[in-house]
Amino acid sequence: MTTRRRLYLTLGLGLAGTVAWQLLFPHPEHVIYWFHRVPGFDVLLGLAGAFLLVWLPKTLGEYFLQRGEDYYER
Amino acid sequence: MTGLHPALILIAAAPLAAGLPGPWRKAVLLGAPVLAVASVTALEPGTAWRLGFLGYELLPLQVDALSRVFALIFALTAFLGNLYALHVRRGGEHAAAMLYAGAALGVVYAGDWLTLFVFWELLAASSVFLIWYRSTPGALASGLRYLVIHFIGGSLLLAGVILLAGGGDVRVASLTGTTGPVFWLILIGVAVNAAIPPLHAWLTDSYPEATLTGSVFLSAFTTKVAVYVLLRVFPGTGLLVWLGVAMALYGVVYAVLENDIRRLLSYHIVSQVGFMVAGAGIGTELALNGSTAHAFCHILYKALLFMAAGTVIHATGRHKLTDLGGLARAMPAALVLYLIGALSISGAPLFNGFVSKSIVVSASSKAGLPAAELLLIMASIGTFLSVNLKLPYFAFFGEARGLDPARAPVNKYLAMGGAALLCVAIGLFPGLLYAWLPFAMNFEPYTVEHVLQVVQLMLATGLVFALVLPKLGGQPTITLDVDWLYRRPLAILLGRLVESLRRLELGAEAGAGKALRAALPYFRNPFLAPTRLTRVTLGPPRGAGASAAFDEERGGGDPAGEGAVPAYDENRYRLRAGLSILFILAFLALAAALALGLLRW
Repeated sequence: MTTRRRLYLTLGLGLAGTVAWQLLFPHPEHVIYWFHRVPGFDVLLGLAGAFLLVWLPKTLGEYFLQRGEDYYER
Repeated sequence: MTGLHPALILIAAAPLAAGLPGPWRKAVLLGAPVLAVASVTALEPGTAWRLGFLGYELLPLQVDALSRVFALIFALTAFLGNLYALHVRRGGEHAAAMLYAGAALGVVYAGDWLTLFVFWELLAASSVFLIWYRSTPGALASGLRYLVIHFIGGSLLLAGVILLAGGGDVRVASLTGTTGPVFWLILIGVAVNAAIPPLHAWLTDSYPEATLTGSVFLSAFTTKVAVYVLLRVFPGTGLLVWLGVAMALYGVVYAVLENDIRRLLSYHIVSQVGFMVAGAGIGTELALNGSTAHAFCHILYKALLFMAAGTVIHATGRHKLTDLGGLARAMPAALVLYLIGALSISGAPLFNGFVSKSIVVSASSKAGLPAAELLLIMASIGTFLSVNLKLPYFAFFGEARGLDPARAPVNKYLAMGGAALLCVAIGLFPGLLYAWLPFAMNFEPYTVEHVLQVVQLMLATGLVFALVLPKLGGQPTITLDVDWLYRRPLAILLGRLVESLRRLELGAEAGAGKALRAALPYFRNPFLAPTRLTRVTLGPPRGAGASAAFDEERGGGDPAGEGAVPAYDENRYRLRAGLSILFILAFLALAAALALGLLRW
């Protein structure tokens, strides 16, 4: 197994373990909004948020924001 | 008056730091902030100095719980910053840093707007030297832009203060709920220093250009002084919630694109200050405590991150991710200390950011703002992605570039160790910080649910990072930001305006020269004008050889055939001209005397 696969497996198992803990030991006293009640909500938020925070800047950078390092000297 | 004013201690130490020789300077650099910390802890809430000035009662020192906690962290940072910069031999740079720290303390202790404004301007005027001392063309130009923008912000603040002073009361008090010009002028003036987009570009433009030690001070003071003013003057201003949330996201979006390590960290100042601004806008006791706590913790971990980045740049001479890599073996201490700062800013359990960020996010949730809560968590994801994963991976673990880092001075590691120790101490024992917050605290960050939440966010972000790793490497580019407006179109417009004015000036100069050259013969020979006038009206003179003198006067022939002008001999007419002038002067004096009633008919 490659290092990269081992890394994916470790992270995946860690995430699954935390979700399992939330399912087994819920803490309703900390719920204010519906998403606080959903086990693993923060896993989804983390995955979606991180993808978005890579894709959005990269797209903006490629089409609008990134320029050569000598841009202001030209 | 009781006690010593902590600001005055640092300001008085500035000329000593500039002028004293080596060991004495070091004693001042470490001793003055220690004295300032002792003075801060000795000043009890309720202490005030009163001073009459032009009919106003000034309060150059007014202590309450909010000013006390900000003053403590500013004085502590002055110590850590000076320790980090202890090897620097430029006395002027030390003096600028001392004045800057003193000005920050002056603002937080100011009980009236006039005192606050004076220290506010001193902040900009002293800190710009921390940029200029780098002495590169980029630093000089960036420092000038920094100064201009801060003076514009200061002018807006002053306009608001003048309007306030017109009402007779200059005490610093909350403006929340008012909507007049005073509110907006002061808010925009403070927003410039808080780096609220679109007024933020001075920060990300200038901080990476500053000296390696100067950027540690810069990261601590200007924006946090502004946060202090927002907490005191605009608590509960709803607009600030969404400005803060936008800031938090804006910074992380730009940080993903950055290649310069100090600029990447600068964008994260914008992002983290967003949490504080949002807390000020929420305005509940929990939120105000959260913003204060986050400012306190942020100053520590951000100073640590800038110190670590500065150490890497000092050791390698490189500041771009595309030029760095494989430093983990060569600089293990810098890596560990950097990671403590990175885990703190990301809000990892056991570190101070976990405590302070949790308070702000929890305050937004409890204030009925679920959207703000989710967006602030998103910003935290971005922080972890850039500061905890991207920067250390590509600088310390990425492709080795064959770098042979130089040894960094031991004082740098001591300063980083001190900041790291405080980050961990507050993370492990939040009560240490709670005791200094303005309102009583009953908040437990270490619940199972909360720790699990943060762990899930970090693991998920780590998974995405591993998946998209090749896309996240630095690129040899710059990223356009709002400063593009005044560095490109406005600069071109001003350049064209200056060029047009210059052409106008050159045209006017050429025209005036031509007119003067044409008029010169008439001054040389008073007969020329009447002679030509006579010729124009009566026609050319008749008679042979009459044009010789005229020809001589014009420096050549007489192609126009205008004929002769008598030569002018000034000695011949001196008496007559003198008498004429004397007569004219006598006539004017007589007329004036009659007009003024000194003589009568």
